[in-house]
Amino acid sequence: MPDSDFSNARRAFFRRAAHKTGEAIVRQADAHAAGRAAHWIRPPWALDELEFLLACTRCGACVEACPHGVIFALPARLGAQVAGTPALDLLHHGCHLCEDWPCAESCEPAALARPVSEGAAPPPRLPRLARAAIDTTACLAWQGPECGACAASCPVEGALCWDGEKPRIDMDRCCGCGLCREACIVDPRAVRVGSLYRREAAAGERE
Amino acid sequence: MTMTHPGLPASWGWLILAFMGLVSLWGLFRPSPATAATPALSLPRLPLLGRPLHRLTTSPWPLLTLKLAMVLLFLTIIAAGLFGTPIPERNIATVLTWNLWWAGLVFSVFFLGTAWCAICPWDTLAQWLVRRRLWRRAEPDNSLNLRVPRRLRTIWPALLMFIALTWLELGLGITVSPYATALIALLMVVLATVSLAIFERKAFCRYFCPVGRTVGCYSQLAPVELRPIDADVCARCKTLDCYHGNETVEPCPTWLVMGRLTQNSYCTSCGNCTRSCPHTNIAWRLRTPSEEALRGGRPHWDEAWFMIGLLALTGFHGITMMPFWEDWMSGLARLIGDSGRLLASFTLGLAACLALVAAVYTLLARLTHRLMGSELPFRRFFSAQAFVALPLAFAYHLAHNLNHLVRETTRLGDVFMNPLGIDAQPLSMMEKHMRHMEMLIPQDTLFAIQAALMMFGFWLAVQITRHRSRRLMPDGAPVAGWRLAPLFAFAVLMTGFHLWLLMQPMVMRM
Repeated sequence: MPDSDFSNARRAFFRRAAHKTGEAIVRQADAHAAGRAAHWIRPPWALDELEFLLACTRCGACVEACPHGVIFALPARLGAQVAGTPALDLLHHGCHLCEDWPCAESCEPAALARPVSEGAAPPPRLPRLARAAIDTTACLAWQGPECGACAASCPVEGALCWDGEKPRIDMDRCCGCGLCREACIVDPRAVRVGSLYRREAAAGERE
Repeated sequence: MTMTHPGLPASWGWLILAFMGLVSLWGLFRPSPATAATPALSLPRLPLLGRPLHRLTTSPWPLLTLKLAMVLLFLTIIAAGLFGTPIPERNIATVLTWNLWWAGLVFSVFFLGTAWCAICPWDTLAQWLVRRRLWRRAEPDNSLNLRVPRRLRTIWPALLMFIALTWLELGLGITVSPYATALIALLMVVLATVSLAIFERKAFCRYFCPVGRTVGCYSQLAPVELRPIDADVCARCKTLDCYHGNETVEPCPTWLVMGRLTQNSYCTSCGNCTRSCPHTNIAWRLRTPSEEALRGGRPHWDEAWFMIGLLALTGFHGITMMPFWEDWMSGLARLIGDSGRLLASFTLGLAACLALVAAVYTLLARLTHRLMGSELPFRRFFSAQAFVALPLAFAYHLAHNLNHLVRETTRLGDVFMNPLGIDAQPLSMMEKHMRHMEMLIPQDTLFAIQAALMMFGFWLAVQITRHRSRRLMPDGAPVAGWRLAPLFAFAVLMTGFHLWLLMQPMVMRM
């Protein structure tokens, strides 16, 4: 066997091995980041969690930019990786989906980046923030007699629909802004808002 | 000597029985109907009088004037009870509390819904003591604002308080003691004040008050309601000022959002929403009294039990005013060796009455559940159909109290001349006879109204069963009338029992 062939095969082997290892590490890191990301909800137009963590400089500009005080910096106790990165406080407030997206505009490293239109398809009008669902065992309208506090809160047409007296969230239209949760008068609130990275989320809706 | 009022004549009794028979037969052979919304008329849309009347309800001053008058009267009652004569018929405390207020309250519901709650002196005094504002929102509001514990967020406390009140009223006999009457009145103010100082909003009104919950329950059959004028305005509203209040007006005391309100029960008619709504979109409305019973009301487990409890307690009130009640009690006392004021026997009688009505309803509801082949869990079926008890209780309560009102409030003016009853003597035999003869309206009119009320209650109970059963079917399919027979039987049994009570002579309350 000629010498060069042997060295070519060895080179290919090492190259492939390095490639595979790298791929596995990235996948592992991605899964790790995604797994942890189930604990918080990123601001609108955030990149995927790993990319976001790499891009975000923890400058806090989006926290300052949010006119409704919904964005906050994650505390240090969550670990060095995520400390200082921004998240939405959807348990207490709703994201108002501002028309000019001050949070995304303020982000210099483009960790929050509105997608630009690619070819014919227009970019999505709204970001997917979280998954919202009505807890029918707590919702006043479901339990009777009636409520309707959330009726006018939904900014997305058709996302919060009514079957008679009972509200329902259309998962295909809802972007998870949490405004209905903010309007809910039940204690504890009858609208559950959870991260798109949640396990049950992974099965169904995340692409 | 006890004096008695004559009961309903037999001719009326036969007429009501015939009516019951005909309606039941008709119900048995007709499938249950679908329910359509009936129109309602908003006060501001009423010609001529509507606008000025609506303005009166959106200004705080008319209501405040009424509250002030009520508080003055209430304080007079307490003073008279504590320091006045112990003769019940000469003391303003007992006469106004039991002869007028307790008997007349249910009529205010018949005409004006929960209007009493709006001028209730217990809450007004609590409000003034804790918030220290006449009507404006206080900031800070001087309350700990604790959330009511989840387990207490039901009307079980109110039902227990109502049973306790019945026990005090009929068992301990506080109706003939001005002093005890004043103490109970004070106790209620203390409870309302403590609750307001500890809990958020008006937890007392919503969860604990026996009078408020009774009035609220009955008001589901009232011809008036506070509702949005234009539902679309509320559908677009994001601020929910009715629920959260604004800078000057307090929030809804009982946690209601007006936009989609369908049930009167928890509304206290306080009018905060009429004043706080930025679109002035809330107004009083006239409606068909049966609207909520047939369509809107969705009673829960606790509310269903409250209705059953109400039915049992109104019947029990009636029995204790029968001349034979004393004999029953002494017989029972001999049996269990009770002595003194026979409180143990009375308590047993009360418990038996509550248990009997509940058991009969449960049994007959269970049978209907079977006959309908309903897939609904029995607990939910029980709650939904418990509404049948409400018109039965309401009709008898009205008919019974009408007797009291017409016959026992003729000389109401006397106690105002001498509220504390200073130097007054007990009623002489002649005065008793005089009062016994006097009536506000002719006796025949009274009997006719009583009979009409009984027929109205029965008719509504049958209609409620028919309309509600259809809405309980999974696809809203009509239910054959005969499958509802057990619940019709419940209405026949209870109305029959009430009719029998009305036909007996009733012991006169002085």
